[in-house]
Amino acid sequence: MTIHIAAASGNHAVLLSDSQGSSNEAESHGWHKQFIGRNFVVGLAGADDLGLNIPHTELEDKLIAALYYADAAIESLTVDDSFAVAILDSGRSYLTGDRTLSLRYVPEPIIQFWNQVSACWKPMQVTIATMNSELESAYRRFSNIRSGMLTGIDLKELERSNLAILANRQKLVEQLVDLKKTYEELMLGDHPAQFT
Amino acid sequence: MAPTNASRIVGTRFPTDEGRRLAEVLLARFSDWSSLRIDLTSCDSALLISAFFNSFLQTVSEQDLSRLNDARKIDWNLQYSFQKCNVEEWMRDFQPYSVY
Repeated sequence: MTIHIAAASGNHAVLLSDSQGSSNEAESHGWHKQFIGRNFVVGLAGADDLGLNIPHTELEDKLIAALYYADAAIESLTVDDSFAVAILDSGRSYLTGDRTLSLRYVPEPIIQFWNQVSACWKPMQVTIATMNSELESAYRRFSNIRSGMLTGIDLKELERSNLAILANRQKLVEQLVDLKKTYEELMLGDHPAQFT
Repeated sequence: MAPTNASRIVGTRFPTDEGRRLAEVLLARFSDWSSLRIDLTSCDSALLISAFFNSFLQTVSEQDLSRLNDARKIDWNLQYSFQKCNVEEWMRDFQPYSVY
C-alpha cells in the first residue's frame, strides 16, 4: 500500500509519496513520483483524481496540507512516514525526502549529495508535524462549542496555538529557502542545463 | 543533575494529558527543581506543542505554585533550535488559568 498526495496551483505544486518506486512499469501510481524536471508534470497529472481541494495559495501551505493528509492516511496503514517530496516552484523543480530513499531518474548531483538534500527535509517534517499537531489541538479545544461550553480558557489556548502556528510557518518558509539554496548550489554547479 | 528522559514518562495520549502527567511525575520525583534538566529529544515532535507545555505549567501552578518559577527555568533538551525558541517563549509567557 502506498500513498500519493498532490497539491497544485498556478505558481507551485507539491507531490508527496511514501513509495520509493520499486519498478519502472508504466503504472500511474508508481515510478514517476521521484521524477523532477518536466516529468514532474506527469507526476501531477492525476492530482485532480485525488479529490483534494486545497484553497491555500502559498507553497508552504500546500506542504503543510499534504503532510496533514499523509499523516491521516498512514495512521491506519502498514506504511511509514519515509516520504519522497517533490516541489515545483517558479519554474523549477526540487526533490527532497527521507535519507533512505533509493533514488532513480534524478540528476546526478542530487544523487551524489542526497545526504545534504535529504537533511533539509527532516527539520521541515518536524516543523510541519508540530504545526499540524497545534491545529489538531486547537480543533479539540474549539469543539467545546458544540455543546456551548467554549470558555475563555479555550479561547486563550486557541490564541496560543495560533501564535505557535504563525511562528512555525515562518520557520518553514526559512527552511524552504534553505532547501532551494542547497539544491540550486548543487544543480547550478555542474549541470545548470538540467535544472528546470 | 543528569537529564531525565521524558519519553520514559509520557505516553501517546493528547499533549494536554501528557503535559499534566509529566508535571505530576516530576513533582512526585524531585524536591529540588532548581537545576532540573529534561530530555525531550526522543519524544514525538507532534507532542511538543504549546498545549503540552502549558498543561505542564498549569499543573505545576495548581499543585505547587512555589515551583512555578523553577519550572519556567527547566533546561529542556530538544532536537531542533526552533523547538527551543518555541518552548522558551511558552515558558516566559505562561500565566495560570486563574488569571483569565
